[in-house]
Amino acid sequence: MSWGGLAPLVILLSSLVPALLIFFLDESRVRLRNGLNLGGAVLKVSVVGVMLWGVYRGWRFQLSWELLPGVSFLLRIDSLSLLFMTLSAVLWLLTTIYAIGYLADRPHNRRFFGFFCLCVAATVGISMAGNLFTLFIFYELLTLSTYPMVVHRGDNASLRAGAVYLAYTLTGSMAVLAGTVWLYALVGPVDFVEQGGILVAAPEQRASLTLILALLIGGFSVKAALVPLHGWLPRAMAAPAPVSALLHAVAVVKAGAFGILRVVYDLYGAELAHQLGVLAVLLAFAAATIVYGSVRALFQTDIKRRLAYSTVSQVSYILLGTALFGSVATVGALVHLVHQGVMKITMFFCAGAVAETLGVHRVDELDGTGPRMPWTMTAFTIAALAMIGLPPFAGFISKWYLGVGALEAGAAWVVGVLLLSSLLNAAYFLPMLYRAWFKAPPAAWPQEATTPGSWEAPPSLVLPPALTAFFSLAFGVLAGTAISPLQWAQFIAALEYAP
Amino acid sequence: MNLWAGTILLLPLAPLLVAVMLVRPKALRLATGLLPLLPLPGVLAAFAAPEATSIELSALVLGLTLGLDQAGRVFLIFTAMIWCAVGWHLWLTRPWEEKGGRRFLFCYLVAMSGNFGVLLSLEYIAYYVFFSMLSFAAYGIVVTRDDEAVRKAGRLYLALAILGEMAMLGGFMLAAAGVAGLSMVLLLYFGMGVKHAVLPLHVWLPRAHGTAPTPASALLSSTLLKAGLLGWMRFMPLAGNEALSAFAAPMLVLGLGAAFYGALCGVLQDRPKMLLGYSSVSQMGIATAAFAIAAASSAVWEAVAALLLLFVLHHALVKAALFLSTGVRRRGASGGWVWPVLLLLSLALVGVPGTGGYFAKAMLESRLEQWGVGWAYQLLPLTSIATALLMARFLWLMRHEPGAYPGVAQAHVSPAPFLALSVLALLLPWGVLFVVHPQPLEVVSGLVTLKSWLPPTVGMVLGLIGWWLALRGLTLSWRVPPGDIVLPLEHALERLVHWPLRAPRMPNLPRLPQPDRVETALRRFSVLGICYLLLLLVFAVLAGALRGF
Repeated sequence: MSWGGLAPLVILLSSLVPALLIFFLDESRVRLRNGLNLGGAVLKVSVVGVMLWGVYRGWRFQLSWELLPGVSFLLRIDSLSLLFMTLSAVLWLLTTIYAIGYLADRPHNRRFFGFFCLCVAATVGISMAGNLFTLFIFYELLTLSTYPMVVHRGDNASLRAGAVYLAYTLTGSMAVLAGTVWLYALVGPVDFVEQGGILVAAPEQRASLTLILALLIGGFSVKAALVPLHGWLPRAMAAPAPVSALLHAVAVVKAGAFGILRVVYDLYGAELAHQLGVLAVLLAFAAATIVYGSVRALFQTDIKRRLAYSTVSQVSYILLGTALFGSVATVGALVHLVHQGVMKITMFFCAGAVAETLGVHRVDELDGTGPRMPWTMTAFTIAALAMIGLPPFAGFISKWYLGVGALEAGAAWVVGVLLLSSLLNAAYFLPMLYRAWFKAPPAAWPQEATTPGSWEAPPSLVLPPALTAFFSLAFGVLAGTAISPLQWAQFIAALEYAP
Repeated sequence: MNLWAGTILLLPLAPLLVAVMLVRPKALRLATGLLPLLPLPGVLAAFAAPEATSIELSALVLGLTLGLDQAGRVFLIFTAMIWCAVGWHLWLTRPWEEKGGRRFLFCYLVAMSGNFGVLLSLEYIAYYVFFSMLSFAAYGIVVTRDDEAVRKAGRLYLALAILGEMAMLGGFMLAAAGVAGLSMVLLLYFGMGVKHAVLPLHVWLPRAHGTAPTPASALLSSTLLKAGLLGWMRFMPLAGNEALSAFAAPMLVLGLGAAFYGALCGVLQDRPKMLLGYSSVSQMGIATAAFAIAAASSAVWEAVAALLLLFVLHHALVKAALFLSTGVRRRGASGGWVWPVLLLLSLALVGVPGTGGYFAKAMLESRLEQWGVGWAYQLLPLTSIATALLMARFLWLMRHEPGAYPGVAQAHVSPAPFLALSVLALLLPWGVLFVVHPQPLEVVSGLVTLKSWLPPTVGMVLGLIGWWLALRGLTLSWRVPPGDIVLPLEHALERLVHWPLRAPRMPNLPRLPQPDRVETALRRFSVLGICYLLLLLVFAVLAGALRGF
């Protein structure tokens, strides 16, 4: 094993080791637990930072060993892994800080943070997986380690949500497994390849390859919450706010979308995937999901449910970009993976902070929250405007690339879908902002917590959303700089479409 | 980066920095004091910056280019002056003492930044960025009170503004993908036209102008309204001459239609600010007609652009001054000047020879004659008559305008800013005429012909007859509710669903039964499983069918 193989291992262990240690710690060892958690998160962010520089220079890091003859476990860091890994590492750090503040003085924190670390280990595993087999292992690990977090509260609603979650995701995993096995049987072990996929379709294999692609995409789209497979996501709102942040931005829905990106670009290659015709179907489903999710969000009165349906809609932007052939649309899909993450996590952080501090859970209770919690609601406002896709926020960049990409791919109707979705986004986010900033506050808040000190809420609940809101703004305003997600997405797309 | 490039950068940046200052409540008063000063570099740059000053900011968004072209320069002159005068007026109303003053000022500053940005945007990404800032911030300066009429006006404005932005974005995406054609013309026409109040998207304008605080209406009607026109002039040619000239005739009809329809609805108002709003619809209709001429033939583009610049400069200054006049004291120190100046401004808007309104219309008429659209040429003088009636009604209503409304920036203050702006409105068109027109003397010599005096005179006589009848006790009982044609639509919408933008009704939104039931059914595992298998089957079959193996 060379030094290059050490990097994936460090990244994986930086959350796996804390996870295992935390399970053996006593519930009362708060400081040590938080120290382990934060230490692992900081270590991971720094290693990922070095990796970014290295991969940009053209280096690749990989680690593999053969489990069975012909089936190898392969961890590999390339440009696409880093896109997802950087997102999840940075957001994991922020979510950890947030969760420490949010869950302070509550029971079962050992279980929570243990599985929390495990989730993130699974997520980076997914991002680094170098072949379908490895991807599947981590994908399953993610499913299983997320379950205890969804049911963390332990009440009836949570348990039911957990059952639904398992039912959905395990079904999806079955499809992925079937696809994987079939593919291994058909063409033997294949690794992901950055430059436009590895599979070459012999005429007699086309039918099988088409079905395999359908199986894989169908399987991954459960976690990506593609309609009609999205039912688990709004239900999982029963979980506490840090878990929502994890589900919606850091790990779970992203893992589904990322799986599809990997299969389409690095296994089949964009060109072959299009020739097989499956992507045309995915395009239709993604477009329908975008509109359907937004329409459903419009009629939710619970803040978190509204945000959940918004996620259903927004994650499909990624699938939409993947389903369109052409490098511009690909850039849109890749960059939205990051943008959606920072925008949506901000909103969940804020929703959690408002619920904790003031007891506000419903949209109509938001009246006057702006002046009462200015930092939190400013962050929320920035994220909401970014979600709508207003310039110069991050969402605009994604929308622009998706729209132009659609036109270049000759699918002008997709632009209509994007614009309609923006309108709907405006229709369900702007009334919330109106209430927060323009309406007078109520005589008494539903359930006001006492906040020590001069902060509007504990700093650990205010700083993470402030930072992610800053990202939502900066990723748009500074999109042209060398360190923006847009540049990285263009870097990846250039590799994928390299001749 | 030289001095002028720095100034150009400073114009949109400085208001944003001051807006950030508002985080400290104590800075409120200081920030207000800065309002009249922030636009001054704009005036300076418009007059003194060298030809082709521009700056490229490739790191920002998708790469922005800011700079000054000829149109931008003229726009910058009047925009900066209006922001100065309105800032002065706003300072006099002491907004820092009012509840909600901080939010108002924040939005005001963001709108200022957006407005200057729009003028300086030489390509469409920058234009779109600043245009959105302007649109959204404008909502915050329109809606300052928590009452139903204001909320309704704000909602309608925002709904149309967003709709317009989406259309515009679609148009720009087409431009970026290199797909020129009629669809792009339509998207840009209606997208930017929302601000420019083209028929039938003008419905937001009278309501928003009528209910906003005085400084906000003054800005909306003058600078915000023109942002769309500047966009037309800069970006519509991207769609290609052929598509543009194909749409010229409908544009001419819509423009002249708005000119008369706006005047008609305006006369039937009973609040002076609503009336002025309709007057803007009418005047912008004339500008649309002028733009149609330019669109019809690229040969006359330059000449018509010059004419348009003169027209918008004049209209913006006059209309801003007229709106400010609704918020000034008409007694006491220099209050005695208000009525005579109002009369002069009204005459200028009518287009009495010697005023800016006349110059623009005279130039427009000669162009229409050349284009050979006889009927339009015959109709144009009639707009002077319509405007005269409208302004007579305005002056009549102003006599009975009640005192100040409570709220941010509503107080009646000294007329000094109004008078200063009026002087500019009356004199500046002369200066611009001599700069932009190739033969200014020819236009001036037209002052003494019968043809140019006839329509305004007829209008003024009719206006006087109206006054005389009104003094005799004749009242005008017909009314057009502000927003005219949108009312039936609003009723229909209200019945269809409780429109979610109707913020106050949020808690008792009805749940649409159908999607809910579908959703519940989907959650049952048996249904889900079958759906899932079916879905996979559909995937496979469709994929197979698409490729035919």
